[in-house]
Amino acid sequence: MMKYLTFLLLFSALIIGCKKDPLVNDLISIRAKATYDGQPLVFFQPVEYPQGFKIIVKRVDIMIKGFNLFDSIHTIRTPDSVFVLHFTNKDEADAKNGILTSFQVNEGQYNNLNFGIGVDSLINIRNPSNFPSASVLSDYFYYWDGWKSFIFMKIEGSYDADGDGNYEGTFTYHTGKTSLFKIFNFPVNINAKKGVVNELELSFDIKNILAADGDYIDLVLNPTSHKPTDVPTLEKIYSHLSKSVTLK
Amino acid sequence: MIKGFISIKYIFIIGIISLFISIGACKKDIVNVCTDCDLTGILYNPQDYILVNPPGFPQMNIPANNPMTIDGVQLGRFLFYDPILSKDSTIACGSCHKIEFAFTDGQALSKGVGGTLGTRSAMSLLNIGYANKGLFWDGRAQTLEEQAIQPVENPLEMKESWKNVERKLQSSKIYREMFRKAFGVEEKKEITKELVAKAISQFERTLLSYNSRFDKTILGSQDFLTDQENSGYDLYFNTNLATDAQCGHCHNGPIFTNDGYFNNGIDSFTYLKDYPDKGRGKITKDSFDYGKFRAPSLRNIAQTAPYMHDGRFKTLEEVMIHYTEHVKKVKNLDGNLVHLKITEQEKQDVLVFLKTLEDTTYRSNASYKNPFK
Repeated sequence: MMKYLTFLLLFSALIIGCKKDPLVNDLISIRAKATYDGQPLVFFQPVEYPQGFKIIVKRVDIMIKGFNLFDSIHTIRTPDSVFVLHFTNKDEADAKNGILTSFQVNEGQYNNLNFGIGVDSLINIRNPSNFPSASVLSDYFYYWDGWKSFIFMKIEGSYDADGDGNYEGTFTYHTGKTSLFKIFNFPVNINAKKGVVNELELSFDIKNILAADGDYIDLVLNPTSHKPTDVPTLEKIYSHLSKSVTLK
Repeated sequence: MIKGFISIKYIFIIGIISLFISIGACKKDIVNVCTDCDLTGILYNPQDYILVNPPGFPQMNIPANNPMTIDGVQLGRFLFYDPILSKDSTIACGSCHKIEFAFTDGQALSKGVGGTLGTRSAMSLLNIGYANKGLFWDGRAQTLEEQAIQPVENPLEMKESWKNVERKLQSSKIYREMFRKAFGVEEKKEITKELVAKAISQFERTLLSYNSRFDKTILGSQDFLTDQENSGYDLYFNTNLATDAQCGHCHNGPIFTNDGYFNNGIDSFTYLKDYPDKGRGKITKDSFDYGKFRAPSLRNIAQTAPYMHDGRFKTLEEVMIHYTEHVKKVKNLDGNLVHLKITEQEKQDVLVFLKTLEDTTYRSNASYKNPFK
């Protein structure tokens, strides 16, 4: 009888032990948002632009390489090493909701998050034909033949320079060149525990990208960024990025 | 007397029993006599169809549940060209996708059974196997298998029921054999619309075009573009310091389309909801997608006139005039289209470049042709 009882206890302990898997789903989430001057950005809704007129934003797509989350020893990556944050921002609720990306992590202390905007040279020497169709990198929508580069960001919209309510001009900033690939590092302090969801909010402020500290891109004179002569516009956008991407 | 009575009674009982037996036998005949049901006597030995990917093209996405076989492709070709799919046996897939027009029909709007006019222009099927973001002008089908299901029951196209099509195919000795060889069906009732769509999709994935002068020069280094063609190339892709003709934003990559959905300003409405043909927006239910349509491949574009989803432009010259002079500033107009300022000479250069995308070699490919002719 004791033999059976002992066996039963050991077996139960084994089952309980097996259940105690430290890998817990979706313990850390990143909610990415496209904002304008710190406020939820609703596409097709007029917002003030520092050039002295109103604009409407129609598209914000950001190609991400990462996310990588670090504890003291490990690096945890999202399942897709490269993906696109394709914001829809149909209304305020949608804008506030943003795009949620979740990590499957072990319990523990996490100290750092990093990701790239765009892709590095190892990827950018290839083209979409080199990638399987399931990968976003196979999509020629995010590739610019003129520069033989993936498109790292797409920001599109219209402006109303004469204030008549008719948005007569458009701006189309499609950025991408290997030299512009940037990695962003953010210190984080997350103690991941089972049953507790930690959510980080990652914001891309479109006003700051176009016009940080009053140093605005002239939407009328330089409405695009895909010609070789547009390089200064591209560089301005990228110089603004560090002031435009925040994590909290 | 008694003896006679027994005899009559005996005969009566025997008669009743015989009647039941005969009824039973008749029923059995109706249910079970099916001399052509069992197809297992036909050899099923599928051989892989090896699709050779053209240089520079992406890897084609072939669904795991519809691997290409030689018999599957062959069956697909027969079904593609067979008007048996339509109500009155007048319209086949190949009626609107003709090999001589790069698998379009040369019409602004395609005609269905009884000459009924459709609402959109037939799209080219060349290199269609590489389309990964939806089919039809509005992307309402995700895969070729989904796409092939739709025209049969469309009242503006084949106007037939799938039930009838299945019945017609099941009644055909030739098709029973072909379905057996292609998919290993064991009984004729296994010939279904899903298998029809799979076979047609297999055939459509074989329809490739990659022998243009562009392929030989830019991708193959076997030829040279003329100065004017080179100028057109620079304009098209906005390389070097050329003016941007904006073509390469939507019609790029080896297939010359990124398969995106765009509003290209061919119509003007104050409110997006006023678009009579809402295009992509009808599928996504997103008003910002109203009036957007799939960017078609520009390979063989000279052979696929007329142009746009409703075939409103008869020539490529008219298309160029639209993009340079008549783009309407609608709310969701694609952002690249309003900065297009090119000279008359540059227009000509782009048109000359577009002709380098022409390939006629596929027309002589016997395996693409109508097997009934």
